[in-house]
Amino acid sequence: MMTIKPARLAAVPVRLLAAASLCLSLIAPPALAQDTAWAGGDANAKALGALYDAAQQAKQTQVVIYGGYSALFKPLWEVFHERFPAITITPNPISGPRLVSKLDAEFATGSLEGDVLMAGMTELLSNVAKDRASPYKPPNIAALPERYVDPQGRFIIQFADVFGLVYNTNLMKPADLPKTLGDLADPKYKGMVLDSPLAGGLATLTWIELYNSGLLDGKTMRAIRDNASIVPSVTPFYANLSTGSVKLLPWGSFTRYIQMKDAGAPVGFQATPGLVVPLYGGTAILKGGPNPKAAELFQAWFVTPEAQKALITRGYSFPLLPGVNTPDGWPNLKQIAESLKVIPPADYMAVRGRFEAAVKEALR
Amino acid sequence: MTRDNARALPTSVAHRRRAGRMGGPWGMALLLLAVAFLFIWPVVMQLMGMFRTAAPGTDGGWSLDVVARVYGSPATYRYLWNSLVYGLATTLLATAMGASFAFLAAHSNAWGRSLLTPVMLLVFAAPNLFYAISWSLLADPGTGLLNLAVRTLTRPDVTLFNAYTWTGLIVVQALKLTGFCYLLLLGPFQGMNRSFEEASLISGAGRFTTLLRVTIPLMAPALFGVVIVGIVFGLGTFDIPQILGALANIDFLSTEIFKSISFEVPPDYARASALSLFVMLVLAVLLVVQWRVLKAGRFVTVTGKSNRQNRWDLGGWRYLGTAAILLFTLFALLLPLVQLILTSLQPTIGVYKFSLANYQAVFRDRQTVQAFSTTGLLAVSAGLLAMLLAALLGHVGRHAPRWIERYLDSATLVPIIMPGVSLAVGLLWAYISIPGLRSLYGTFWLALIGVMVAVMPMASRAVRGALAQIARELEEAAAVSGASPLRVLWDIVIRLMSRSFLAGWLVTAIIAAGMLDVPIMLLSSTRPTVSILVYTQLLAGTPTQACALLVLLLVAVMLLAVAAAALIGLCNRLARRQVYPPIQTVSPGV
Repeated sequence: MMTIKPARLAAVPVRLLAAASLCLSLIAPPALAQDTAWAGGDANAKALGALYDAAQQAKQTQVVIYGGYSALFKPLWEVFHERFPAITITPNPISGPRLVSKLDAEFATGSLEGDVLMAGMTELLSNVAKDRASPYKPPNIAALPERYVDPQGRFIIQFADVFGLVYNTNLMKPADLPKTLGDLADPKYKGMVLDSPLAGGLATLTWIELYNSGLLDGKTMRAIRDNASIVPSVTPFYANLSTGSVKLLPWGSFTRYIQMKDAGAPVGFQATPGLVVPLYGGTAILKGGPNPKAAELFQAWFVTPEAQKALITRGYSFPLLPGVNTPDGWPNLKQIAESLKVIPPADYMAVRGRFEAAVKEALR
Repeated sequence: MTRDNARALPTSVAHRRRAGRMGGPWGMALLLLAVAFLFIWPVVMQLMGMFRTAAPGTDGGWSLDVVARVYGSPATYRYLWNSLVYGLATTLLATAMGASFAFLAAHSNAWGRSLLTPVMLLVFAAPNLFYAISWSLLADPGTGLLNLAVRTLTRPDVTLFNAYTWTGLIVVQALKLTGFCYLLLLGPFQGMNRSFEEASLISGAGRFTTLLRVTIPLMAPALFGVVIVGIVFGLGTFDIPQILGALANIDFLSTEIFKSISFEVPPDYARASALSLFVMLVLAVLLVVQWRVLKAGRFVTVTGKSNRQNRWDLGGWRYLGTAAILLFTLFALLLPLVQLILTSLQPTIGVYKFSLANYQAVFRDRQTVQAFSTTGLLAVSAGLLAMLLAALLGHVGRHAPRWIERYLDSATLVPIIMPGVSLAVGLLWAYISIPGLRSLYGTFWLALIGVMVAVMPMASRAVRGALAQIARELEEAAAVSGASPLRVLWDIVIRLMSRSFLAGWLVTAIIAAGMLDVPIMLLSSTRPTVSILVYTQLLAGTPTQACALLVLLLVAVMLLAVAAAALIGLCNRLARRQVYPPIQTVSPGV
């Protein structure tokens, strides 16, 4: 008499499911073509599929991204890998002087290891000016407003962060917060943490925007500086903000605020007009990098709705693709940007030079 | 020198030179050139940057602008004064504590002495950045856990601890530095012959007098080495001054150097190099003092005669020793470590909800396992390479003319004067400008050379202190018996200083494991180290995951220490089996 072992019996539903899925796959197109909303439509999905094929044919299995943002967006790279399993993104968080020296050395010797540079405007533009970017406009780039794309295709701006008042909610109430730049000189805010406006860090980058918009003059710069604890870098002091030994960061990152708030820290964020500043970041394909085809696929993917939505959910940052909306309660990036005078990328380094001269004079 | 010439010299000098001579004059020339390439050239490239208008390796002109800009500014001298006070105070305090604990561990019968080495290892291995953050959380004048505890026991307005003061800064840095001092002093203390102290006691000197007039002077070479590295390290250290000093409104040379190269676009290497020059001057002064004070041969404790290493019975003082060990363990290790572990279990710093989510996230990351294996391999090999090279250079130096000895001694210290980023940039440019080495860029091997160079100052101090205790006659006896110079080095020198060698290897491996700048510049992006992953987590705004990584790194360091202890045990067993007959030591008198 024939007997059926329990293990075999248990395997029957699995086999039925496998057979059903095989039948379905014969009558339906592949998943990539079936759901194309992630790419922003059929045409984009096909174009990205072609880029993926080209990278695979070139046997390029990774994209090495240089820059501090590559660390911040590490959770996004899992999304990329799920979409394109044959290619992984390798972040290298090198930034600042290390990045400058590494790129100087790699370009001088021709032994380039990075494929993509992901950075803020200053680092991006200074490397573009050194002719280190390989021009490339992804097939789906039309979806992104023209102002975020370099006319020559050397770089693309894909994300932003907003810098405003980040405070400890146990120590300060929204009503206690400064309303104007001049308020920051009030002794009640003594001890707020700021990096040196002369040092090229966060204070420099935010003050460039405020100075360019005519909101910040030399007298106010000096008054704010004298009222603050000037630190080498603001980054370690988010922990002090959470514990309460620091009560206010006048230009704190919204991204950091959301991360801390989600984790339960007693922190608040206020985007006070006239104080709040958006800072943008983007990417450039490095000329002569080892994986150019995979880098092109990455550039195209980063402006898809899938990547731009993941910027919100996994990167806590502001996307720039129209139609991808930030959650309720997030500051309105468009309004904040419009309240400041736009600095065209081509003019940025010149504006920065003027600001540096002004701030050195004011804080001398 | 030819064999005939060697015969013409007085016998002792000939044997002395032969014991350390390797490869003849060409070999010596090659060695001196290699030392110049490895240790001096990268730093010279950076110092030349003082007078250049562009970054190293890039096109630019020459300028003296930095001289007026840096040395003409009164603020520079305020930073220098603050740094000198900080470096001196922390080093003296840490050396005193490190030497006392090394004495307790090696020579006393105080209870709890066996705790000291693992405690010191963990204190030393705890990264500076998190030591600073832990203490800012523990001794914050408002919300610090220590102050909250004191207020619970006394009154709500009592503030006993404040990390954001000069005292706070010095105590925290000194606690951290004590681990380093102890680990480098333990070997020399263990290698010291008790006969000297007994002779002193028999001659009627009291214990305290013996300690002051016999024990400490015999330790002078090792103490000097520790003090030199400690002061120079204190001048250049960044994390604790950044976290605690900034809120205390105290500026240091190190924080100014950091600002110059981290935020200026392009980085202001000229100012950073000009500020670093002060560190070089301090190092030069300390080296000259060391050379004048420490004359060769006066500190020999390991000779061909019998060696006694029994412990001092401290009598009633043992209770004081035990109390000191327990207090140190509490403040230098347990409190910051508990804070680090608690933080690794929190969703963000300051939120007291605990879970294993950070560890789960760390293990989910596909780079984690590889980062630990890369770090382990890099740290262990770079530490070993540095110690072997330091032993070779120390051995060659002490059998060579004085100028060569001093050249080798100072060259191996040079890398410590440059801040981490500057040294890494110097190494990068130095290596990739050589065609053969350029092809190694991005490989493990180039990073290994870079890390070895960066840890060499610590390795050379560990070796120098131990070498000074070994009688030259032992090497000369081996040379007379026909042993080759390499065999003299391996069978006599390294064996006799094996404890210091292993301690130095462990210390340099721990420093290498925590190093960020050199690996991030020289290693491939696909092979990150644990420090690079920690840095990634900090940039990503997840410092609690960084803490989880660091706790795992501390566990790995402890495993490494256990492996080292097992190695020492194996060596001892081999010695007992007479595979290498143990040399009974000591000596005439001081």
